[in-house]
Amino acid sequence: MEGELALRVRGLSLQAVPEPGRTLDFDLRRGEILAIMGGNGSGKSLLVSCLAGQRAAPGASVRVHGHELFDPRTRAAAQALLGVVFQHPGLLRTLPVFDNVALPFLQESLGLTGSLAGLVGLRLDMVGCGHLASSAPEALGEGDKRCVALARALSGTARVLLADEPASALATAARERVEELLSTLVRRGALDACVICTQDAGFALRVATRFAFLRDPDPATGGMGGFREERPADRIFESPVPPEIESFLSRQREWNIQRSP
Amino acid sequence: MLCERYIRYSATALFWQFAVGVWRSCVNIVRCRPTVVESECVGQILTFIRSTLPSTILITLLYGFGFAYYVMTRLPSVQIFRELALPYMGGVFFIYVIPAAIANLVVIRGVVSLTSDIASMRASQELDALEVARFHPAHFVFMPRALALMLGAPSLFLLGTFFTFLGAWIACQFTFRPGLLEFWDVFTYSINSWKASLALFKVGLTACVMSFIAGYFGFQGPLMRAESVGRTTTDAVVTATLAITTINILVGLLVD
Repeated sequence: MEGELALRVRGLSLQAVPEPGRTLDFDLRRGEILAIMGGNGSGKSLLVSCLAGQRAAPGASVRVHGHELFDPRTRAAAQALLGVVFQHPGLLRTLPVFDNVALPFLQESLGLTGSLAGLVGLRLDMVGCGHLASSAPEALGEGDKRCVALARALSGTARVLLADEPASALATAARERVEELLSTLVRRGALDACVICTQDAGFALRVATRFAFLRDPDPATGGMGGFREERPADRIFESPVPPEIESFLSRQREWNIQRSP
Repeated sequence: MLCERYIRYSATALFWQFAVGVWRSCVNIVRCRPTVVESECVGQILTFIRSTLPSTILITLLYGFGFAYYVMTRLPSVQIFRELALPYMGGVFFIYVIPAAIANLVVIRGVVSLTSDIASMRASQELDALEVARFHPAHFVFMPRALALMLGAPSLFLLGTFFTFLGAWIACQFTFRPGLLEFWDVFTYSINSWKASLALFKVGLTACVMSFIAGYFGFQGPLMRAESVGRTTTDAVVTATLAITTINILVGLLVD
């Protein structure tokens, strides 16, 4: 079954010193979109950084299609299969939007031509930013920056997408486009799997096929990490409903009551 | 986790990555296959020169004019100024005044922008994005900016020398009205090839040390938050200023 695994995570600690019960272990198979939810300070952004290989994680194992991320010999192969959208868009200020999206291909050349340029243009069109190709990142609004960051994450050879709050700061239309895009890419096999760290229950409910909820940080020790519970999407409303989802649903109910005549 | 960053961007690692980056860029240029890194280098050099050129011209012109005018008006006669002061003025400017002025400009423009650029790029996760795209941040971010400083500072120094000469010449137009070539001969009387090499070495060394100080602080600064950018930049400027003084003293001792 290893062949079907897109991502396998074992013993991943978000702390410098791993603590029993605070490590993360999960598998992600092809076609799955895992929404990882948690409160402020629960370590969502740190988790994305760790999964992207940006932080050392002593004793942990992260395998992307069988390539170990923390093994220097296979790290490049694993990273090539990962697309990452960080908490901040992180667009390089000295490059125009097109070059930012083309960044994974610019190691060997000054610009792109032919099919690669077409691919980058297509990625920009997919997130609705095709008209911004020649703009400077500083001229973009926050929502557009996030869309361009998503296009960049999808433009290389990525098969697994890691996204930290991909829908924050997006206008409703852009948000719906991103939801539709992620679902479609995974459903059609353009992406194998997706890990989305978010506080946005609405976005997660519309996109995810699985949910995992991070434990709250320990107020005494500051310890973070570990899943409180995991559920597939079709069991997310089973009682007891996770508080993050319950809170979202109760707001929706209030809104519906206020709107009803 | 913090420890990993300290090792990755230690002063030694930064120096090594700079050398590797320069070597790769040279190879790419020789092969006529420039990449986005070389384009970034050109962009940063042009940005550095464009942003420091007006202030260099203005400052050195004023230094030359002010210093020559001051000395001229305080000596008993113009004749004494012409024959005793002016022949040594160029040497004083060349060895002491212009390198110090350029060092200050490099600190103000170069160190501040390099440190704050790197620190803010850390805060906005641009460096993370580069690493994910398998670019080494030291190659894409540090090397072009450091090269701009190292190549830009000596160029500004030579330009500054010319404008100091021009400033002093303009000051002399109020009294004995020398011709440009005649004035050049007298002004550069005490500058020889040894002094010229020493001054260029001093400026180059200063720019080199400044860029590594700026890079080190940019990469090693405290937590990657926007509010830490200012603190990191201040630390870098204070250290760079101390380094300038130390370099001046050491080079002075070496020459003596």
